[in-house]
Amino acid sequence: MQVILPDRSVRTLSRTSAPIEEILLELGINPTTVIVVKNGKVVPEDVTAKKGDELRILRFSHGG
Amino acid sequence: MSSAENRCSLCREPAVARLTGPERRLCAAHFIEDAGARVLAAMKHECMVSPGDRVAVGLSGGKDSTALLLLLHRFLPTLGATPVAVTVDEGIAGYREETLRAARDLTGELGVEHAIVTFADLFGEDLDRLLVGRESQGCTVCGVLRRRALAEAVKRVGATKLATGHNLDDEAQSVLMNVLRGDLPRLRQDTSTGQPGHFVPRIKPLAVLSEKEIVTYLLLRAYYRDLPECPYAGTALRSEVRTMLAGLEHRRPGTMVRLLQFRDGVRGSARAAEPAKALSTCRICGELTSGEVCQVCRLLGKGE
Ligand SMILES: [Zn+2]
Ligand SMILES: [Zn+2]
Repeated sequence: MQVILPDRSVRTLSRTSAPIEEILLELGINPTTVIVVKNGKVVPEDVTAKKGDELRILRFSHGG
Repeated sequence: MSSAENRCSLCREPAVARLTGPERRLCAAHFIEDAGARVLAAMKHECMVSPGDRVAVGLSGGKDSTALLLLLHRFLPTLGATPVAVTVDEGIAGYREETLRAARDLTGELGVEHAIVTFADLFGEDLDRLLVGRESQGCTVCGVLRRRALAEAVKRVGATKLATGHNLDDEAQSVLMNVLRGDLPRLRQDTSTGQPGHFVPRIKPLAVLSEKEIVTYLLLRAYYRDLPECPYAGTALRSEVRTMLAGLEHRRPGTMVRLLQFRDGVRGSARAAEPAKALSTCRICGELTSGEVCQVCRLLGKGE
């Protein structure tokens, strides 16, 4: 699966299947500070990502 | 949770978010409805607006204020009130141009009246110039001046209330910061009642939504824009508290809401215990202050 990080760099993960929350924590990202778009759709972080999925991680900048 | 199980609790469409209290999964349409309903319920519950109110909506053009105007544009008429957008242009090169454009686009699209006040007009110089030599204090100086500028904008448009886009994260961070600074007066200070002749009541309809919920709302309604960040980095304490609270909220969901409940509890008991501190007026500009010369006049060097 492919992960597009907030800085737009791309990481390819060899894992075949894992809950998104676990993937975020492994990448050192707190799930409450990002929104995850899986294959173009916003999803809750307890959804499982599988081989071939694309995850885009959106970190919202502060200041409103 | 497989994708097949990730369904909206209300209609079985794919869910975009999982919320607690009560536990539910919501699809895009139901999330938008749910977030709006919570904001409207808070406005009614706390009697934020009355029929006939003209509500100034602080619109920086950033994410929170964009969501605020979208929601108030929809709800105020149902409460017998009308919105008027007010924007403060501090004069921050490389940042304000784009957010100002976003603000103008939005009020144009919604057909909402819009007033813009500038630091240059109110204080003689823009923020970048006012900060030369003290850039590290940027957010503190800007905060004081922006509050005054908003109050001035409110007067100019003849508004009876001022709505700001503070979200749950902002509010919880402020509570914890006040605790960590030992600043009980600031913790107790309630701006929702206003000061006749000086400040109109200030309302914060988005304080029931987390920053994450607000960004989700904007993404789903296709109003999310990747805007530049303000070059003045914020206070060191706030960024530390933000990181700490984000960690706590993840491990102990509900932490931010409990902090606000604690604050409200403190305000309630403090109100009963002792009368509010007397305020006087600034000898230079005539606005309310706890001393002889207000913070704005001191920052502008008029106090010497
Ligand atoms: Zn639904
Ligand atoms: Zn003054």
